[in-house]
Amino acid sequence: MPNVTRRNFLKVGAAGTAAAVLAGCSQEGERWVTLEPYVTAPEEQLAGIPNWYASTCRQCPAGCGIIVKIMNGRATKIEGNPEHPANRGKLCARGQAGLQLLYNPDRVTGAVQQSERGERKYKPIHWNEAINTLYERVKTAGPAVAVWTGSSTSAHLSDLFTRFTAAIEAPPPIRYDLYSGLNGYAVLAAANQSLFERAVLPAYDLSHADAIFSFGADFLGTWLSSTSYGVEFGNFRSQPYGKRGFLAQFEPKMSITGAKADRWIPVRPGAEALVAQALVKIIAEEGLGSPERVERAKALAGEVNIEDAAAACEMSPEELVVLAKAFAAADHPLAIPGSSVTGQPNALAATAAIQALNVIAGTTGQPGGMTLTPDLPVADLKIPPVSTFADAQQLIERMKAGEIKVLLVHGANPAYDLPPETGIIDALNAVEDVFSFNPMVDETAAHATFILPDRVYLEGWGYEVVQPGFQGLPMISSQQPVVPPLYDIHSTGDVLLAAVKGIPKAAEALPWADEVEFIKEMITQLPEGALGGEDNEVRWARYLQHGGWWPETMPAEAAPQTTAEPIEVSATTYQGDEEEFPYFLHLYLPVLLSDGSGANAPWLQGSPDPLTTISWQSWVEINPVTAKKLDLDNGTLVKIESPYGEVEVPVFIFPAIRPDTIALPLGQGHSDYGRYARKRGSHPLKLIGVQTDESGNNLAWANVRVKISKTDEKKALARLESSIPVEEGDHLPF
Amino acid sequence: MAENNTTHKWTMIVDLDKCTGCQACVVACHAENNVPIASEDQVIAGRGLHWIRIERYWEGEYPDVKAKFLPVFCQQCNEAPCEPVCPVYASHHSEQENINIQTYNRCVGTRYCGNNCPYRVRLFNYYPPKWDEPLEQQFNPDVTVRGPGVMEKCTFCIQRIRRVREVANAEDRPIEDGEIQPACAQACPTTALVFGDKYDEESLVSKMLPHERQFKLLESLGTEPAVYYLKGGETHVGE
Amino acid sequence: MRRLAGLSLRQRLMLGGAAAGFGIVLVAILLLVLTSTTDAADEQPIKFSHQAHAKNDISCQFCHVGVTHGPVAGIPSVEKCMGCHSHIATANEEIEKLTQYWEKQEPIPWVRVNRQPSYVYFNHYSHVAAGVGCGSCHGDVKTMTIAEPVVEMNMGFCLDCHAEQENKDALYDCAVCHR
Repeated sequence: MPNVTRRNFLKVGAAGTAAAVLAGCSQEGERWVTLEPYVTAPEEQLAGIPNWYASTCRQCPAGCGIIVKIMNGRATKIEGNPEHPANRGKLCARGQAGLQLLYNPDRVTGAVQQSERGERKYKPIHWNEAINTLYERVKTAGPAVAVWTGSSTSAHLSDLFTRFTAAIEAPPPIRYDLYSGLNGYAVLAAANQSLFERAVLPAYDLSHADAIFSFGADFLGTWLSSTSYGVEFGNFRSQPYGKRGFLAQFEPKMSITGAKADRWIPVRPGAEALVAQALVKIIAEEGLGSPERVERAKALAGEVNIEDAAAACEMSPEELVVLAKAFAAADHPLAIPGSSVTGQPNALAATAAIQALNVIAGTTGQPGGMTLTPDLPVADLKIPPVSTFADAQQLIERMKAGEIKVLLVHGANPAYDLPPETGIIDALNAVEDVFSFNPMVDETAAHATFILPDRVYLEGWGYEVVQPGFQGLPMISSQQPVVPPLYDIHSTGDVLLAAVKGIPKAAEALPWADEVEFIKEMITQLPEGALGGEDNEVRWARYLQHGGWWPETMPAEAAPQTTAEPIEVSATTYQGDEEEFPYFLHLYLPVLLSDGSGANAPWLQGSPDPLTTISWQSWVEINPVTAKKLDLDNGTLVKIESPYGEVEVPVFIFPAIRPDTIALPLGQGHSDYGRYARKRGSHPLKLIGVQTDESGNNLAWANVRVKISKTDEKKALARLESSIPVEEGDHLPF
Repeated sequence: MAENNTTHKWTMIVDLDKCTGCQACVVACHAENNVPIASEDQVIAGRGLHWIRIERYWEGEYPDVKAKFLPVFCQQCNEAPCEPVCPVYASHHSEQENINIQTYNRCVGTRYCGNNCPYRVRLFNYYPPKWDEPLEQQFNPDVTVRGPGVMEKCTFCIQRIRRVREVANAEDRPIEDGEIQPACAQACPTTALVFGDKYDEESLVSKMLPHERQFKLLESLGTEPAVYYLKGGETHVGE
Repeated sequence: MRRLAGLSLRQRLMLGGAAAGFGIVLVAILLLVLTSTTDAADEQPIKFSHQAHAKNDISCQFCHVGVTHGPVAGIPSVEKCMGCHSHIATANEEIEKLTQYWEKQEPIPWVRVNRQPSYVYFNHYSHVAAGVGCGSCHGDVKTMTIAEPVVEMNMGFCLDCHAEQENKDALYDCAVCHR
C-alpha cells in the first residue's frame, strides 16, 4: 500500500472486507434509522440529559428513599435519595435491582383470567370486564371477603383496603409475608408493647454507639432496614469517639454482620436470650458499670445459670464476664434482638430480655441508643399494623372451611411465604375467587382465578410510613411514577376505588375518584416539615420532589420510657427428637434474594452471595468437622429431613457455623415467579411446621431439628471463588 | 479554560474496616455499565462477569474464625501490565484521567491483557451477552454494550467522569471534589469506597492519604495501582 | 503507555490498524459502520428546508435546543413546529403533512442524517461552548434545502481538527469518545 494516508487506509480496509461484512449483518438496518421526536415534549426533558425523580423503594418494607435516573423516557438507574433521613443517599443491591422488576420479561401485561386453578393458562380479559367482575364477586360475597397484603404493600393501599373491609364488615386485611414473618416484625412490636407500651419497631443509633451486642440480627444483610444500618455501621466504623467501637455478634452461623464483628460468638440456636440474661445478671452481681446501670440490672435480673449461658456460647464464664464488662463500661452500648430470637417458642420474653439490656444501658432515646419509631402527627397516616402468624393461620382455616368467597392478594405471596404445612395451597383453592394483584405470576397467582396486575412501584403512586424510623424521626416516603406504565395495566388503588362504586357502603367509605386524590388528601394534612412549604400545594410539590415528609427534630415519644421488672424467659424447646434429628436448622434470609422476592432479577440471582460466593443456586452450610464426619464434600447433594418435610440441596462447607447446626438460605425454590426464579434450588420452608410460640401468635421456626443423609449425586456449585477445584495432580487452567 | 481540568489522578480508597460484602456495589456496577450477568453454567465454568467482585477470605478455625472481604476491581495501575501487551492499543493509558482505558471498538480479543493482569479484573465476553426483552430498556446509553470477543473491565465509571468534565469545561470551572462518584462508591451503604482526585490537595482522598492502615494489592509488582486499601481492624475487650 | 509517547499519532493509529488487519475483520466492520453516511434527501417524510428557516434568521438553537445543554442536539417536537406553523405557511403542501401528524398526534419519522455508531460519544455542548460553529461539522446548512451530511464524520475527520488544537487531549485519549 504505497502512500497510504490514515484515512485511505481505513477506507481500503473497509472496502476489502465489505463483501464479508454485508453477508454477516444488515447494513441497511444499521444505516437507516428514523428519529422520532416527541409530539409534545415534556418541558423538563432534553434528549441525552438524565432527569432524576424521587420515589420510594418497595423491594423490602424498609421504605428507603430512591432517586431514579430517567434517560429519554427509560429508567436506567436507581440510587439512594441523599436527602432521605433513612438511607441517606445509599441503596442496597436489592433496591437497585428494582429496574429488573420494572423491565422483567415475565410481567403480566394485562388483566387475565384462569379457568383451571394451577394450570397456569391465562385468558386476557378487558380491564372493564375485570373491574366489573371484581365488583360483582365482592358484592355477592358480602362480608365473606378477605384481603391479604404484604409488608411492602404501599401504606396508602393498606389504608384503602382497611377502609374497604371495614365498610363491608369483613375482617381487616392481613399484612403478613416471609420478610416480616422471619424478621419477627410482630414479635418486636409485641415485645416493645410489653416493655415500653408502644407496639412499633425499634431503631438503633449505631452511628453514635461504641459497643454493639447483636443477638442474631443481620442488620447489614436483611434485618429490617439494611441500607440504613449500613450507613449507620459506616458511621460507627468512622470512630466518632476517636476509638474503635466493639461489635459482638451472637449467632449460630456467621452472617455478613458476624463477618464484620470484632467478636463472633457461635451461640447455640435458642440460647440468645439466656446469654442476654446472663449478661444482666453478671452486671448486677459484679456491679459493672455506673451505679445507675447496676441498679437497673438488679431490678431486671432474672434467674439464670451463667455457666450454662457461657457453655451455649462455647466460652468460659470468665469470658462472658469480660463481655458483660465491655457492655456495662461502654458509654453508648446497644443490644439488638435479631430474627432467629423472634422465631423461638419463647420469642416475646427472649426479645424483651435482650431489649432489657438497652434499658440497663439507660441510653434509650439518646445518641447511640435505641429509639421507637414515632407516630406521624396525622391520625390518618398510621404505621400499617403487621399481622401475626396466628392471624394468617386463622384466615387460612376460614378459607379451608369455605367461609371466604373472595380473596384479594396484593404484595404478598402466601403460597411461597408460608410453610406448606399450613395447607395454604388447599386453602387458596377452596376460595371461590382469588384475585391476585401481583405484577408477575407468582406461586399464589398460579392458583388465582384472576390476575389484575398492579403497576410496579416505579410506575405507580403510593407512600410509605417509614419504620424503623432512623434518627428518631417519623417519616413519610413518597412514591410517584417515574416512568409511564409499560403495559395497559391499572393501579390496584384505582381498580379498587372503581370496583366499589356499586357497593353503597364501600362507595361511601371510599369516595375518592382515584388513588392520587386520596393520597393528596392524606399527605396535605401534614404540617410544615423539614422541607417547609407555606401552603398545601407547595408542601405537596416539595413532598414529591424531595421524596417525602419528615420533621426537623425528633419528637419526645421516640425516647421510650419503661419501668424495670424482671423478665422470666423459659428455656427453649425444640421441634424434632434429638436422637432422630441431631442437627439444629438455621434458616436465614440471604443478602441478595432475601425473602425470595429478589429471585426474579438476574442481577440478584447472578451476583455472588457474600460469604459462600455462590450464585443462582441453593445450598446448605455445614461445618467442616460435621462434613468430614458425614463424608460430605462441596457439592455433595444431601437430603435434609425435619419432622415436617425434606429438601435436597448441595453442600457448601462453611467454617463459620456450629458443628451441631446446618444453615439454609431462603429465597430459591420457586415453582413460578418468572424464568429467572422458576425451578431453581429448594425452598426450606418445607422443613418448618406450624407450631407457634408461647403466646400462640408467632411462628416458631427457629427451633426445628433436622437430619442429613448423603445421596450419591453431586452438583457443581456456581461459585465465584475457585469454581475449578484445585486438587493434587490437577493443574491450573491458566 | 485550558488551565482547569487538565490532568487528574483518579483514586479510590477502599476501607476494609467498613466493607460488609453486601454486593450493593456489584449490582450498581452491573446497572451502570451494562455488564451482562453470566448464567449458572457460565459461573460454574469460571466465566462469571463482574467488574467489581468481593473476594472473601477465611482466617482461623472454628470458633475463632473470621471472614474478610476484599473488593477487587481494576486497580488503574500507573504502570499497567495490560497496556504494553495489547497488539492493537485497545488497552492504553489516559494521560488526562490517569487511568487505564479499554477501547472496546479497538479490541480484537487476543486476551493478552487479561493474561498479563495480576489482579484478574479483565473479563472476556466468550459469548454474545444476552438480555431478555425488555431488560435492555434499562441500558445506560452512556456506555457501549460490548459484543462477544471483547475484553472489558472497570473504568472508574469513565462515562461519569467525562460527563462532569465536559460540563465543567464548558462552564469554565474546575471539577469539584465529590462531583464524580463511580456507581460503586455512590451505592456503598457504609461509604467503604471513597473516590476522588489525588492531584486536588483539597479532595477527600488527598486528605485521607497517606493513611496509617493503607496498603496496595500486590504492591511488590510495581504496578503502582491507583486503588488504596485500608486494613480492617479488630477491637479486643478485656485485655 | 507512556513509552509510546514518542510515536506520532499517525504511527500509533497505523500500528493499531495494521495489527488488526492480520485477518481479524472486526475492526474493519466497525470502521465501515463508522464511515457510513446516509442519502437522506429522498427519504424524509416532510421536505423540511433548513434554508427556508435559516434565511429568516432563526438560529439553529431555536430548534436544536440540546446543543447548549448536553451531548444531544435533539430535534424539535411536533408541537414546537406547530407553534409557528399553525399560523405560518399553513397552505403549503409540506406544512399540511406536518399538520396531519399533529392532528393524529403522531411523531414525524425523520430519517437520521448524521449518525455515529453506538461506541462513539460526541458532546455538542463541549464544542458549542468552545466556540465551534455548527457549520464546522454540518456544513452550511443554511444553503441546504434538505439537510445532507457534507462531511464524512469519521474518526479521521475528528482527529484532523483536534490535531490543530492547542489541547491535544482528545487526540491521545480514546476515552474522550469511546467508553
